[in-house]
Amino acid sequence: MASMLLPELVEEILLRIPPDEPAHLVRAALVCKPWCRIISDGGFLRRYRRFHQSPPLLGYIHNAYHHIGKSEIARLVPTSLPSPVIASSPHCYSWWALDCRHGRVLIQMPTDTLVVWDPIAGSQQQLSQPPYLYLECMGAVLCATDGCDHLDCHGDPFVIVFVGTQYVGDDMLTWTSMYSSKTGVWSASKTSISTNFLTWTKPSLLTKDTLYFPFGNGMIIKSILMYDLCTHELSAVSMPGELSMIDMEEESSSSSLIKLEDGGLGVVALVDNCIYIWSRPDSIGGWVKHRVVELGMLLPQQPHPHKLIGFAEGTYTIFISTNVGIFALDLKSRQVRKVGTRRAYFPILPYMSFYTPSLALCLV
Amino acid sequence: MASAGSGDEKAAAAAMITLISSDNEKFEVTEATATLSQTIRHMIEDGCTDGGVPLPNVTSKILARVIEYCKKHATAAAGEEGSSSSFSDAAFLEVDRAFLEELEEFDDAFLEVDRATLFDLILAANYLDIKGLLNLTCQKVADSVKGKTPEQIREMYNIVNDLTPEEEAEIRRETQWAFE
Repeated sequence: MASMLLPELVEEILLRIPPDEPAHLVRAALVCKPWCRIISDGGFLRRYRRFHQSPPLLGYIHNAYHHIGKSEIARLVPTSLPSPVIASSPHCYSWWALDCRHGRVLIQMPTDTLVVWDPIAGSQQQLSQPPYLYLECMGAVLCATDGCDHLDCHGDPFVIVFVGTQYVGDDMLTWTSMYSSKTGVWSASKTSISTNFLTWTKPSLLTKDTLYFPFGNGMIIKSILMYDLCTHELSAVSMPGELSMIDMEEESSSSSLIKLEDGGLGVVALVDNCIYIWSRPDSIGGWVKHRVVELGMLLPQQPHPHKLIGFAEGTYTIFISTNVGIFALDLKSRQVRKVGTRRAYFPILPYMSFYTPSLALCLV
Repeated sequence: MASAGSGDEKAAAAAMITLISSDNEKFEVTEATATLSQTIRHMIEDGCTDGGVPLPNVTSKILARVIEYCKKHATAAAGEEGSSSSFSDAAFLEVDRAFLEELEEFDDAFLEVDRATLFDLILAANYLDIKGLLNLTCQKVADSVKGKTPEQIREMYNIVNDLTPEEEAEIRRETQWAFE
């Protein structure tokens, strides 16, 4: 029967093997030479990545404070098994992931060094932190290759943007510094604006040429800073009024940044088991609130509120922590998938990448 | 509604096309149904459909199924206009959702066929250039490959393994994690 299928139709079928469990494509390469040739072909792999558009979720970074006698350590938790990404995490108990994007994870080590980890290539690049004092910090990592579609990019070159807060006299000021792997140096610090305090961090959000850093207490965003990657200027973004009013101790709310369909910044919040999204249509100038999903029947009921603990940049997937584990919720299709077991979670950092190795060299 | 179309569009929607299968069976379909096929759309644009459209690569059994698919999806395409696909009020999303669920149910039922018919549908969708049908049928085969070992895939699709033991060992070595 298979012989009835023209080679280009085999390609159409292989193209549709879902990328979220990379083992499926790898196993298909072992079926026969023609299948292996198709799967190894650079043109096919480019088409495969474009067909599936955004890189699939392969796992998420679970940050944890390590205490002696406690077994919790930071790690990359794969969301499917077998997984190509679990073999190479940093050999240290108390690392903390600041950000994760374009196949790379930015890690702060206890020795005050930074590591850029590529879980698929298995590579780790160590670098010093910027030579400026800070009380609290955030960092963002992104690919620095011109014209890259970021569907399967790895290693060099990359850029890190580091944000620190520090007292100058009685004022709390924020500074930024940028590192480029091409030059290997941190830029001069640029002290910008006075800011609110910043405690636990959430990962940044990248839209076209802008990085957004959310400030808050880990669950609730209280303010947003915006870093322009072209001008290197830092400025404040106003928050939706309703959200900035929420008390930090408020248990029934949690919020996160999200990238909207038009590529712009949005804020998503879980309030009393309902998901809301705020967008900023240019024509209006302020924030507009949309009610998107009532969690009622989608997630297991529980006496205390569900928590919004992460977002997958470039998709409409958010992550919600419940009594029975972590769920990924697609806000457009409303599909829900359990991706992790129950734990006391800090915000998680989704790891998204294609795994499309070329196996052509294996053929004689 | 006033936006339902001008008189010309209505006339076009009612225009009938005759499709002729390889075993010479004739099928009368509306132009809206037929033009889900890019191949037929081009023939209509070139004015080559008088006296029917012969489809020498498609049997009547398969053509009947293809037309069933096109009829349902042509209606769907007409209904989709003006509906919202982005974030909006919950009420709009409810309408979208019910609509998509019905279409999904149809597609699931449509795919309840044996493997030989599925391959015939893929060939027909490819020949007639019906994007949605090609996607649906190829996805069904791709999904059937998920979670299978290479041996199981070969057996399912009657494929001869022409990899040498050395090549097979080398691929397994390069991607060892996938077989753990």
